[in-house]
Amino acid sequence: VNAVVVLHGGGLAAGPGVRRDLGSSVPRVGEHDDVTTLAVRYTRHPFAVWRSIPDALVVTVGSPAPLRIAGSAALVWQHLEQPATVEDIVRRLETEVEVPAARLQEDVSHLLDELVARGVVTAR
Amino acid sequence: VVASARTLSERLETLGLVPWGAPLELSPDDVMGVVESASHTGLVALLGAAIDLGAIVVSADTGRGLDTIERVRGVWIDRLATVVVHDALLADVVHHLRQNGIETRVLKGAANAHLDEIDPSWRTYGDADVLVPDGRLMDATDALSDLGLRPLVPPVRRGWADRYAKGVTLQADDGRQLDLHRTLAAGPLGERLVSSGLFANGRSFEVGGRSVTALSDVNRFAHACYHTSLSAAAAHRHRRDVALLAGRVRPVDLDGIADVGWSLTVIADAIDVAAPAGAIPEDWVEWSAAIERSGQDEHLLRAARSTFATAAQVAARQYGGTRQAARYMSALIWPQRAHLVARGLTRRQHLRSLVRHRR
Repeated sequence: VNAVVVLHGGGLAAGPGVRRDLGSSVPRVGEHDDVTTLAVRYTRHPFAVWRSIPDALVVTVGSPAPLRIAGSAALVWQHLEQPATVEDIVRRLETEVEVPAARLQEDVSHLLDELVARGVVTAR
Repeated sequence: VVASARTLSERLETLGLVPWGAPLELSPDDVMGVVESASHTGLVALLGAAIDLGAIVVSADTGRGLDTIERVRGVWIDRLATVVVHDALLADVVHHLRQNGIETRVLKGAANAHLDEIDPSWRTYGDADVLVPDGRLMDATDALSDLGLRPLVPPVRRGWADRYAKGVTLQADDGRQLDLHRTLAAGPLGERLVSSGLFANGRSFEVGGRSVTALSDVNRFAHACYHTSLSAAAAHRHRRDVALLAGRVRPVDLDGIADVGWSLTVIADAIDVAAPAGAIPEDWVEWSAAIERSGQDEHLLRAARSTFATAAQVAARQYGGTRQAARYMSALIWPQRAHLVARGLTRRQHLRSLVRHRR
């Protein structure tokens, strides 16, 4: 019951445990035309259950192995209450973390892919 | 100032409910003493919250301060991992029972975390608790087998469970547990509770995007009191639940509560148990001092804190009438075979243990 999958973001750089080769069907910048890319909106899965503490949270959608999100990656979750594009989230994070926008864009995009693959975030 | 473990536990029990005062500096060993406490005390979450609020400072003399804080957060998030998987189970259970025409009320941990605690992350728990209407316990048990939930120990007999059992614990293949309640206390104190009264005026909240309903505020308060008073050793979180809810309801709100079957004696006893920590409002302390205690209920309280055999004998006497008492006891004396198998007992071993308890 207690198995926890860990995602860790330090300065939003994906740390150990984050795979970058997920082959997600979610379009990214450059993969499709800009209109499609910008239209993708991410939000928490409607059945997601989570608890947060400072700098970390744990979330599940019914799985006995909840996902643990730690470090600054946990900030992204806070910005997923309403549907948001990668650009929306990056704009908000720019005021909260000192990371170049281009790096943020890449890291947030990878993190969202992971959260979608894990089933706790939906992309439309 | 290095606090003793007892003082620290008591102070954590009332975190956010009484003024904290100056930050408390603790050694890593003191902190680890709390971290290693049993999960049912609920103290790790309160310790983590106190550290994050700056109410507790871990001394850095030994160079272990930061490691210790990380350890606290790690254990806290691990316990919250147990919470979220049980909240997810809770949402599924309530939804499934609703589809099967069975009304529910969410109890204890999840309800207290979402409705009463200062922050839901401050309350940890290791199972889900749901009340179903009187007479629907076995229907609900059967319905939940669709979700892979099975009784940890089959009831002594199905009819007995629907009529007398406090509830049944169900377990999923992945280890998640659900306590399905028919009533909120074992024996006569539970039998007095009127199911329709427990279901009246529930409080709704969301879990996993789905609406669930808890007991009303006053029923939640009374239940927290029963849980504290009837436990042989009430944990810090039980007493904290009483304190949290004592701040939500007033003594005047108890008007009519006897109609639901709650015992004022048990509620007053819980107030007495929780008051020394200092977070029970003065009007409740005065109410408890003034309330006339029932000798019979005090007798039932003592029996409930005693062994199961003693509690069962007292219960049988309370049911009144030879036939009723015989019906109650017969299933306990001669339970179905599946019940004994689950407990690892032969029928002979079971009967021998009854004789031993009788002596």
